[in-house]
Amino acid sequence: MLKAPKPLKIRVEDMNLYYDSFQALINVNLDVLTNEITAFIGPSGCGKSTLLKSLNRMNDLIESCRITGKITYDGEDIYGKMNVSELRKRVGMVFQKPNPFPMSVYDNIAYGPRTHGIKKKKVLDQIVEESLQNAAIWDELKDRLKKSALAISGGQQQRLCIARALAIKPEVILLDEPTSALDPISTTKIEDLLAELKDRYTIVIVTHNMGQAARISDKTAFFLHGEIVEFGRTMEIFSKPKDKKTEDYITGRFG
Amino acid sequence: MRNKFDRELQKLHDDVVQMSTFIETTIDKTMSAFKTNDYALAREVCENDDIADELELKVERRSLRILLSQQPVARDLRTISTALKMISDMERICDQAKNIAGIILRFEGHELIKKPDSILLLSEKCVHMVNKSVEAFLNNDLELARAVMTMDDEVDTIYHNIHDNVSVLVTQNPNNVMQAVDFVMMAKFLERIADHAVNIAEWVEFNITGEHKNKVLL
Amino acid sequence: MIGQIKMFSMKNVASVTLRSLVYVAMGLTAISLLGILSYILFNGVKAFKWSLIFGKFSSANPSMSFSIVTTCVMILLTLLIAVPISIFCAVYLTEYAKRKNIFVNWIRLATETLAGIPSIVFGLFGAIFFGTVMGFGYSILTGCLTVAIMLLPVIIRQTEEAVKSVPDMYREGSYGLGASKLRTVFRIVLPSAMPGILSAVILSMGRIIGETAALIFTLGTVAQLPGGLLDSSRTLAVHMYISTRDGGAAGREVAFLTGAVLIVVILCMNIGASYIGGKVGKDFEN
Repeated sequence: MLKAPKPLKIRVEDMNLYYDSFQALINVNLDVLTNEITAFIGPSGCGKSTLLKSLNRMNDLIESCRITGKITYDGEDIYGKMNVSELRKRVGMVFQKPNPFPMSVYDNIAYGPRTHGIKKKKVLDQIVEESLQNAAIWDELKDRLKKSALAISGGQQQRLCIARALAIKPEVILLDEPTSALDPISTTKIEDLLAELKDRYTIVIVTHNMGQAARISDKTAFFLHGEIVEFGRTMEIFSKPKDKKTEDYITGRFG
Repeated sequence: MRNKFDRELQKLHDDVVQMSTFIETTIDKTMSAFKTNDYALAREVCENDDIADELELKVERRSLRILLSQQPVARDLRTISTALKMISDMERICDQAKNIAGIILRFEGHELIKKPDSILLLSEKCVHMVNKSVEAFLNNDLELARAVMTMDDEVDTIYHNIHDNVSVLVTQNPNNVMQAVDFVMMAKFLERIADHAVNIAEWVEFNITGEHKNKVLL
Repeated sequence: MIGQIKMFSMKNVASVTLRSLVYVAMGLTAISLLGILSYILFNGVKAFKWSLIFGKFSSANPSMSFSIVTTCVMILLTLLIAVPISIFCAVYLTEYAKRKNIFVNWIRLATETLAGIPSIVFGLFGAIFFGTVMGFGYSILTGCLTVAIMLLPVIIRQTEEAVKSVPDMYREGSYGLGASKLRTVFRIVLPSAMPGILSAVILSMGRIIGETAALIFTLGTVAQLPGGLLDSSRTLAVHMYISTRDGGAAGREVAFLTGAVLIVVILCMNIGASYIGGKVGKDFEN
């Protein structure tokens, strides 16, 4: 029953985040372990997406955002000397709404590698095929690589976005409600995909779908009003939560 | 906010309560039939077995429907799995009571040897355990559930005594070996009832703590 | 019941009235536009002579050949100056400037004010600043610079709108892959905003072609094929104006012909632009 603990990937220590005078995250502490799926759940506006975005510094885009505390990635402070572009290369992100760029499928995937200096056509071809295969969408798209990425279905677009994130060979993938805009079949496909990717990547996912968190994640963090109320094994959270607030939320008694 | 869900859970609870009341009266009837040689009562117990099956089915149906429609988690999940597991133990208790009633009916028209005191003692203990486990469930009483679990040792000892002393019974009245064997079987059925009572108590514990026999299930 | 029927008929009357108003408005617009077009084309065709279009200019044959060249040169040069500046400015305003930047607010105020100023004021300014102070005199260069300044607010505003309408999720996607701001702007945002920017450019071409007041002060009115940037000349619109003013009845005929040519040129340009626009948009989306 007992396994060796997995190595630590990301550690959040005593983190506070403010938008102007509004405090969006309060004293957050969290460990994300390698090759695990960590799910963030909680009502809208509880800060779960905010924390997710802080993990690859997407919050930098918001002028009024201010952070105290520390986030370390493999022991390195990501708000310290680390180069943002380098961080985002290692920590990829997939968004709520599928957001393929208005260009061809091929160019979408190649955009990331090109950004990081890969120019050789042969190498790019290989990366595109590999990424699409890893995202389990190669068979569906291999004949449409030159077609617009906007012409494929929503579910395919989202898997394309996952492939695009995989193309820069990240170690961590952050997903912000990746299936909230998709139909059940596409959702299942993406959940299957994530379960497969888990062996090679570390995954953090924000979800409003409690069932999804229960189905795919190893750890679950429950957020409320900017605080982590409870963080632990998913099975434990969903069978015997320690905190009354967690219980009330996941059983639908409030929120 | 979740009115329909809560109503369903309440109905499920009511169904389980109905079943537990039913097993309590069944065991009471069986035992008083035994004590007073009331064969009509014993026959009634045998015939009422269908009711237990129906009640079990009712709880199973409702539980599965809630699982399907509400995808319960946390306390709700524990409550429903407890109901599902507990109901089959309750149904088994009724089966055992029916078996005992069957043995009683075999005595009809025969001269009875003296009923061993230990059987009466055993039956009292078993009825007590069933009552208490049901009470523990109704009141969500962890202490009581754990108490029921410890009572089982006593029942086992009494049962083993009866088993070992069967030879004494046979020597008392060599013409009634069959009755002596029936008493041992009855004791076995009672011991099984006690085991089911313990099972119920264990599920009550799971319902409250999330742990079953000191093991984390999820 | 009676009340209901009455209400219903009231509604009916209102809707019929509104609908007929819509038809009348549409009819008036169509008639006046078609009327003007056909009037000019009709008179232009009546005055048509090949020598008036392609012949050499002389007082006996006030040909517009030199003027067609000048117009084309003006369009090209002005856009070459105005478009890059406007796009960079719009990108700065939308993507780089902080929201509460005072400098940006000043730029906004300036562009808005400039957009409302009559072109003759620009002409006056251009003539004095570029013509006299900088010493370019009446010349293509003075004209281009002046008109370019006139166009800045228009193109900036429209480009800004186009850039703003690019969904933020594209930017997020790009940043999320580790792309820099510069790369995001040039590889993702501007290509996505291209259709909007193109329509701004097309509109600007129309303004360059149609401009007279500012050009009379800056480009001048000399009837010659410009030999260099510092030569004076006339665009088609200016040629029209001068012909009408100085040429009497014959001049009016020339003006009509020039007008007809202008209409044809603009028509061709619009068709061409929408073809290019469609192609660019298609390349980008398919």
